[in-house]
Amino acid sequence: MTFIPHTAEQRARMLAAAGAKDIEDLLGTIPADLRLNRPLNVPEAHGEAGVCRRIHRLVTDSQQIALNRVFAGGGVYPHFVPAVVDELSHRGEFYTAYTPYQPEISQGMLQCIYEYQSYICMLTGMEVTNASGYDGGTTLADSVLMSALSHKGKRTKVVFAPHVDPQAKDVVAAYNIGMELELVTGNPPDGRYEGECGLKDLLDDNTTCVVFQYPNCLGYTYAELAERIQEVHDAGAFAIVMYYPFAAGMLKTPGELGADIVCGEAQCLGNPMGFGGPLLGFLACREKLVRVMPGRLIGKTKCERGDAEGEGFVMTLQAREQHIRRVRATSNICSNEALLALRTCIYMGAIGRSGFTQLAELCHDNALAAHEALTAIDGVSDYYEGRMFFNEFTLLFPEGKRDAIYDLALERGILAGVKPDARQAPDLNNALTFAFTEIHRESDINALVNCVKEVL
Amino acid sequence: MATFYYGKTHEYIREEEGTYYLGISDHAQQELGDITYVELPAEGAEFAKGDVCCTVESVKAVGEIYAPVGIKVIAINEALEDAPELVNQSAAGEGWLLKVELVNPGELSEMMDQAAYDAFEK
Amino acid sequence: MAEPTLIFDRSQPGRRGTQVRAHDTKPAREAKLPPELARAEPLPLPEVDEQTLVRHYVNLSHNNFGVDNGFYPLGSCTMKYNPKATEHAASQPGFAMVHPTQPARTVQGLLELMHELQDWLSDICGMDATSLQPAAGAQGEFAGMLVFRRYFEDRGETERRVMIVPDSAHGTNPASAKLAGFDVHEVDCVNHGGVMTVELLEQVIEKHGADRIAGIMLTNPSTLGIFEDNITPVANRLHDVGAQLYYDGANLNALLGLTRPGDMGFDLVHLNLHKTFSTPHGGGGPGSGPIGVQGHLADYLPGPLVKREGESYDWTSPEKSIGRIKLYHGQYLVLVRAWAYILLNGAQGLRDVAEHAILNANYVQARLKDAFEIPYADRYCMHEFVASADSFKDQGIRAMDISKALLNDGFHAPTTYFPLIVHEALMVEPTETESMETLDTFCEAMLRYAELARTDPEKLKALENLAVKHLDETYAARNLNARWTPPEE
Repeated sequence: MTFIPHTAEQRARMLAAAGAKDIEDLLGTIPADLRLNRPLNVPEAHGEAGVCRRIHRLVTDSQQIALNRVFAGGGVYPHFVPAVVDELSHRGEFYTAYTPYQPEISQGMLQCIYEYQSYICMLTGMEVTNASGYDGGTTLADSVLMSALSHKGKRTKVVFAPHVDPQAKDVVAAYNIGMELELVTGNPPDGRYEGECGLKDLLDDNTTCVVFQYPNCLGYTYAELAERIQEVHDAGAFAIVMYYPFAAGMLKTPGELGADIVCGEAQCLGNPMGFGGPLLGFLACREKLVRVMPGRLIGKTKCERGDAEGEGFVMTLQAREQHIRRVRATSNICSNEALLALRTCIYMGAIGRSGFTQLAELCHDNALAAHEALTAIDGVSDYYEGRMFFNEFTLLFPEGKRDAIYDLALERGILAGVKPDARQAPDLNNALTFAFTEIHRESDINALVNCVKEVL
Repeated sequence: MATFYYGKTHEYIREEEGTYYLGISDHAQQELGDITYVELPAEGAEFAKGDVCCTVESVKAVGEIYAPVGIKVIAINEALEDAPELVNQSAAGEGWLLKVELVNPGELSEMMDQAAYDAFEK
Repeated sequence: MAEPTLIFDRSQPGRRGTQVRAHDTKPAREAKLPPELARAEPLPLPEVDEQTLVRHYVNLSHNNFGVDNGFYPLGSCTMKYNPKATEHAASQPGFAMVHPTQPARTVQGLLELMHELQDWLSDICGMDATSLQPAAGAQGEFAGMLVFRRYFEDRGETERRVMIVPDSAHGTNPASAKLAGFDVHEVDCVNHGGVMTVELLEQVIEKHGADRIAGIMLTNPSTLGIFEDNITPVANRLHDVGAQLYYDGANLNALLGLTRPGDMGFDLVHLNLHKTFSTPHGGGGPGSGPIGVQGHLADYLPGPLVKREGESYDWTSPEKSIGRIKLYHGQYLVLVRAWAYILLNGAQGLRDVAEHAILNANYVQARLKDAFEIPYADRYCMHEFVASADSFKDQGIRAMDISKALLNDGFHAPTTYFPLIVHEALMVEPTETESMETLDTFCEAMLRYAELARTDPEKLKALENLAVKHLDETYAARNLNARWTPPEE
C-alpha cells in the first residue's frame, strides 16, 4: 500500500459512507468473467533501498562514459547543464503541476513558457512558436503538415535537401502513412551536397515545401542557403528549416535567411541527454501561419474587468487544438515537453547574452582544434573538403577502419562520434560524425586523436 | 429592405436590393461566444449546398459554416480580419461573411423565412 | 494584480550570469564560418546574475499550483502523488548522462530496464507485446492508428477506413484517427445513454458496409466513470465484421490488477505513464504513451523495441513495423520513473491502487450526491464520477463558478464541461493517494458551494483569495502577444 494513506479504520468508515460492505462490493460493476484471477506478473513491492539496489546493478552493468568523452551529436548533444537548472525545475510547484488550463493558479508556469516562447523566437528569427513539441523529428513532421494544410491539399510534394537527419525523415515517413504526400530527396548524382543540391529539378507547382537542415546532419553549413530559400519561395512553396539552436550563438537565424517554418531539437539548451528522451521539439513560424501551427500557445493579456487591473498569461488560440477542433485539428498533440521548455528557459537566462556567445564560440573552437588534429592524420579526410561547420563535422577513414576506431575508443571510455546513416550515401559506412561542445578540453580531444592514430 | 432566409444550421442568406449576403444568425453568434477569428474562402470560390464555406472561431469553440444553398463568392467581408467581433455585434448587418451569387435561386424556397426560423430556434 | 516582470525586464547590460566555463575563457582560434551566415550581433538574450535569476523563478513558482501543493480532482487526468523516489531514479547519471547512440552491448542495464517495463506493461494490459516509443498518450493513439492501417494494408483490406469514435471520447481520439488517414465516424452516444451499444454499432455498420469498418476507439470505464457493460458483445460484433478495437488507457487506474483491456477483447491499448504510473505532469509534459498489442499486431509496432536473446538485450524493429514515430527510443527518463513506480508498488500494490481509487471516488460521490445532481449516483462508480451544476442554473451558478470557487479555496478544479452527455459537468477523479482528510475538506467545500448557490450566489462568485482573475481570453486571441520583443531602439 505504498502511497495510499488510508488506515484500516478510515477504510471502514469510507466503505460505510458509500454503503458498501467491503471493497469487493464496490467492484461488482466489473463482470465476474472479466476479473483477473491471479496477481499481476510484476515483482513484489520494493522499498526505496531495494529500487536503488536494482538501479545500481543496471547502471554498473552498463558502461558509463564521462560527458567530456562523448563526441556524439545526432540531435542529442553532450552540453553541460548548470546546477541552477536542476534546482529550479525540481521545485514541486513546477514539475508536479498539470497543464495550465486554470490561469488563476498557473501564472508561474504560464510566464515561464511565455519566456521560453520568447527565447525560441529569438533563436529562430520567427514571429511565433508553440509551447513545445515532442522532439526534432515530430516537429519536422508537424512542419510538413502545416505546409500541406496551408496549400489546402493542392500541393502534395515534399522535397528534402540532401543531408536532412535520416531519423527525422523516418518520422516524417511514418506520419506520412496518414498524410500520403509524395516525399522526395534532392540527390545530386554523386550523393554530395553541392551547389543547388538538385533542387531546381524538383521544384514545381506541386511542391508544398522544401526542408533544409542547418547545419546539416553531417555538420556542414551551406553558405547559399538564403538563395535556395528564395528559389523555394519563387516556386510558391514554404521553406522549412530544421535547426540546431545552439548555433545561433555564432550563426544567423533561419528567419534572417528567409525561412517560413523553423523546427528542431532543443535538448542542447539545458537538458540532459537522457539516453534519448525526453527531448524538446520546437516549432516556430511566421505569424501568418499561426492558425495551422499545432501545439499549445501562451499569450499575454489584460484583465477583462474595469475593477481589476494588470496583465497576465493564458493559454490562447485553443480553437486550433484537439480538445476543441477534434477531427479538424492540424495535429493531435495534447501533452508536450513543458518541463523541458522550462529548463531551457532557465538555462537561457542563466547563461545570458554573453554566456551564449562564449559557449557557442567554445563549441566551434573545439571543433576546429579537433578537425585540425584529425585531418592531419594520414588516411583521414573530410567528407566535404573545404566546407565549413559549426560544432560538428564528418570524416572519412580508410576502408574497413572506421569500426575499429570506434570500438577502440569505446574501450578507452570514449564515444567517438555517431556512425552516419549510410542510406544517404554508401561511403558513409567509412565515416564518423563528430560533435564538440563547450565541455571538451585539449586532453579530451587528444585522447580521441590518439585512438585514431593507433588504429591507422 | 432586407429579406432573410435561414438554414437549419443557423446560416442566413440576406437579400437586399438584388445583392445576396451570407452570414450567421444572432443565435449562432451567441452560441459561439466571443468570436476571435473568421476564416473566409477566396473570391470566386464555389460551394454546393451543404459544403463548408467558412469557419468561425471563438475562444472555446469552432463553428463550421455550411452553404445553405449553392453559392459563388463575389466578395468577402474584409473588415472581419481586424474586427471579428463585428459578427457578435451585428451578425445580421455589418457582420456578414460573404457577398454571393446564387447558383440556383430556386433553392432559396427550401430555406426558412424569419417567422419559421424564430419558431425553429426555440 | 500587478504587471508581470519578465526575466528580460531584469536585464542589466554587462551583467554576467552562470559560469559554465570561466567567464574569461575565450576561443583560441579564429572562427571559420561562411561570411553569409556569420552573425554580426549577439541575440538580445537577458543579462542577469544567478541570484536574480533564482529569485525570479522561485517567486514564479509561488504563483503555481502542483500536486505537491494540493488536491487535483481532475477527472480522466489521474493526478496522483509523484513519488520522489522515482525522481531520484530518473536523475541517476547512469541513465541521464548517457548518449542514445551508445551501442547496445555497452548499455545492457538500460536496455534491461526497458525490456522489463515492456513485459510488465504487457501483462498489466493483457497484451502480447509493447512498444515504449510514443512520447505521449496522443502519440500512442496515433501510433496505434498507424498499426491498424498497416495491418489492414497487409491483409489487402485497404477499404477499411472508417474509425468509430463515440462523441464522448477525448478530443485526441478523433484527431489521431484523422491524422492516420482514417475517416472518423462520430457516434452520438451523448443522446443515447452515453455508452456504446451493439444497436448503435449496427447503425454504423449498415451505413458504411461491414467491409469498410476499420475499428472503434473506446475507453473503459467510460468517461462517465462507469464500466462499459456492453464491451463483450461490442467487441465480438466488431471482430465478426473483421474490425479492430482500440483501448484508450486514460482510465486504466480503475482497472489495475482487477481486469485487463486484453481480456475484454481490445486488440491495441495505449497507456499514459503520466497518469496511471504517476510520472509527473511537468506543467504540461513530458508524458509517455506506450502501446500494447495482441499477437496479430505485434509485427507492426513502431520501433526500435528491446528484445532479449539468452542473457543479453538488443534493439529490434518488428518486421513490418510502421517505422519510427519519434527520434531514438522513447521518453527514457519517464520510462525509468514508471519502472521504479511499478517496483515500489509491486503486484499487490498496483491492485491496491485501483481498489483505493475506486473507494475514494465512491466516498466522495456518496458525500455529494444529495447536494449535487449526479446522474448515475444510484450505482457505484469506478475511479471517477460526473456531477452536474445544472441544478443551480436558476441561481445563475454554473460549473465554471464552482471551479473557480475551488481555486479560490486552494484546490485545483475538477474537469468541467466534459463529458458532453452531462450538462454543466464536473468530472471528479480523486485518485488513491488522497487521504480521507483531504477528501473531507473537499466535500465540505463543495457542500458549502451548494448551500451558497441557494442562499448567496454572489458570495460564491467573490473569489477574494485569487490574486489573478478574470483574464480576458477573448482579447488574448484577438490580439496575439506570444513573445517578448526588445523595445525599439
